[in-house]
Amino acid sequence: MKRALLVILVLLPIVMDALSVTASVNKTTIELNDRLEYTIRIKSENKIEVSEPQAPKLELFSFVNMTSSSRSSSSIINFKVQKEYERSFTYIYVPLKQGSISIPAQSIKVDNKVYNTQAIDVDVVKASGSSSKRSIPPQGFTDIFDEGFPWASHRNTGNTMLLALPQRQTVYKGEPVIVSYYLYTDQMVRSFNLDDERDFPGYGKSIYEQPNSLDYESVTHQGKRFQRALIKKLVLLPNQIGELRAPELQGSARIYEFGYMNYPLRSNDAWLEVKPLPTAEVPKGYTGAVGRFSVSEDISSKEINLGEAVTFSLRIAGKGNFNQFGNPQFPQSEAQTSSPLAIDKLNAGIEGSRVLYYTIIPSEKGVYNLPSVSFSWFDPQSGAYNVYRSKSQAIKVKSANVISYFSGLLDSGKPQTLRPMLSRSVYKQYPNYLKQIWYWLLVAIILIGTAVALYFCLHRIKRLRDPESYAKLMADKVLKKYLTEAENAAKEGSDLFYSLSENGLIRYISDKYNIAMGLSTAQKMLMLSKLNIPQDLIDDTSRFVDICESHRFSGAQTDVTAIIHDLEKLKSLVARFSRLGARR
Amino acid sequence: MKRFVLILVLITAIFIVEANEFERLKTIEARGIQNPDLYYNLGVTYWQTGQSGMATLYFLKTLNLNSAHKLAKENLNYALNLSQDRDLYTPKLFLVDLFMQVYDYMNLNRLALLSLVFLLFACISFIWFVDYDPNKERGLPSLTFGACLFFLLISISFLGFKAYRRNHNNLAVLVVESAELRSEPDESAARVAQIHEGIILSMRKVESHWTLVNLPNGQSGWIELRNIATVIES
Repeated sequence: MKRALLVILVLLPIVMDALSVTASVNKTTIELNDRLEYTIRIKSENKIEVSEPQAPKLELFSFVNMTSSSRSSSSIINFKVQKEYERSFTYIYVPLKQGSISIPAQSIKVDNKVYNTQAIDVDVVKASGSSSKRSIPPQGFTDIFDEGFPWASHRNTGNTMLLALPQRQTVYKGEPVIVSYYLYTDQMVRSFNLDDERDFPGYGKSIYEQPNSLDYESVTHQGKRFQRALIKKLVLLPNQIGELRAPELQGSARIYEFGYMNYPLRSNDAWLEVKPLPTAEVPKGYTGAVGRFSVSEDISSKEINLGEAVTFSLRIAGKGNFNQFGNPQFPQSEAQTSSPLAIDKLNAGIEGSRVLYYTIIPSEKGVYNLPSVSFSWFDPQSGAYNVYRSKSQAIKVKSANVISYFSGLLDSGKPQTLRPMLSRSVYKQYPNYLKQIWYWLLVAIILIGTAVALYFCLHRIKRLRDPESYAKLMADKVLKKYLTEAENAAKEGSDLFYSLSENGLIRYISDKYNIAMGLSTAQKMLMLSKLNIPQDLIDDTSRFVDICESHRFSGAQTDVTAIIHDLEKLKSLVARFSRLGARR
Repeated sequence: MKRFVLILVLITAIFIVEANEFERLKTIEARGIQNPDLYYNLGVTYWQTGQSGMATLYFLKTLNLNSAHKLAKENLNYALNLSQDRDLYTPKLFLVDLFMQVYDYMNLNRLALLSLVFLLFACISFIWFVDYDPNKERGLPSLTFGACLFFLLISISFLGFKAYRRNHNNLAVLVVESAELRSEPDESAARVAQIHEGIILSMRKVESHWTLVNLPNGQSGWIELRNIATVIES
């Protein structure tokens, strides 16, 4: 009873699960000129998510094509809506020879559960004369896939394949070899997706070429016409001797054949034989270069001043394992010699040129003999080692001079190393002098100082050029000042008017006619008369001065009307003097 | 074994210190501090972490602030000499190179001070010229004033140009591994050239998320803005 319950419990989920996977064939007995259609059908009440099962490998048959379809239906039974989904995969084979086989049970994974189909027996018999013709004509790949190629087990679809073609079958250790991966097809391959690249031990690699699109070319392969497109070119650098397996590419081709289908593809096994480098006659200082190289040298100058540097360059061009050999070192000498600076112009690290720059600074004047640098490599084509030795050259080193001291100023364009970080504990905002107030203050001071200096300069120039006009100008200025002050005193009725008037008038006359201020009034009047000043004006001036003096020394309060009257007299005198012009 | 552990600890400590220093520099920069030495140190750190594009950018930033920063200039040349696109940089003629050395040596602040000195000299020589005895030949003062005025104008012109360039620097650097230059601002447009990280580009105009740039050899094309970093952050 317990056993029965256990069995029921185990079987219950299977019974309850409405998903079924079945396999069927169109015929169990196939004639040689007919075709076999093997169908795997998956039915479920829910949507089915399943990846395409791999086509079973059948003896006696050649796989031709695969189609897939999906279907869904709804029905109402007892007022209940029932849905059914179906996916089917049909694999088409053509028989190759008579016999009996059993198509093995297939394992299909749906929603993380594995379902097994039943095995089916199929007989292949001789074609009868009245037999129907093949619905898909044979593409003639039978011999190619199953017998012509050693990688027949890796073919994926009928007439599309991914081939790995090494440039050479036998290489030396370290010798770069290019492996090309081509898509060969006679179908309508719309695109190719590269999914994976599987590596094997024994080599280093780099990409040599990888086109973005399928560019087809027509080729004949094994007597058949194909279209082929380059998928990828890899450079392999073997690092161990013996058998070496090239990387394996995996991807899928999208082919149009009654609808689009994705075919998984995998490249064939490509093997190389890696030979060791000869151990005999290995040159001294050999650093592992393998390839075909041409070497040349150059020197920047043969005559320098002491303290200057000379640059020796060694150019290695050609095809080889550039990234696997060490750069030759300059032999020790009396001069300071830098490690080489290598500048590469390489494609995929194997083709192009490398220029090695050595900076040499002789330490003594005289003749410096540049030692010979040697570079050796193994040439796979000739199977022998080659050595290049640079010429031993003499460099004339002259005494240093001032110019040679400055010669390093322009050498910063090609530094040999990266300069280190600066040790700073604090980083302050970098000042911009143009935004500093002190800067513009200095500009203002300079400009104002210049303006002031110019003012005095112009006065000086005027005095030098025309002394009389300058004296008149100055007198007018003085007079104007005294007149203004006297006028103000007059308006206020102050006795100061007379002292200001006298001072102003006497100074004006002194400045204008260049009469010494220290003379008495009488002497000044005498001087005026000598200068041909009208006598009436001299008399009026003398009288006015006397009035001023009498008021200054009397000490009595003066009537305002009298002051105003005397102001008018003063103005009249000044006007008369002004009309007379400058010195006489 | 002990030695090995000690070495391991030391190496780890150095890396931690370097990482801390990098973070410290970036924090200072984020505070808005503009300092040539800060940019220079950031450039060196970026280079050490394998970001040649960012390193080139920060050396350019250093030189934008202080064109006389010798170390930044040398490191920039070092980075450019090792870049994949080094052949695009056309060598300068000797005299042009010499002029550029002098021009770079005179950074903005040095030019500002020089202009001030020339202004002072020009003013003094002008006063001398004006105040000179009118009865004598004015050859020497006029020559002095003319020379001072000439140098003042030259100095002010360069000062103005440098100040403008500092605030309107149109240089940019490619900071992604490689990118393609297109003939039009469109991904499907014809490819003009492929350029690599660290190349210095001169921006001419911007349209949407594309910019028209000039390569060092004068070739021009469009590139997406997300691939480049500019010396002046917009």
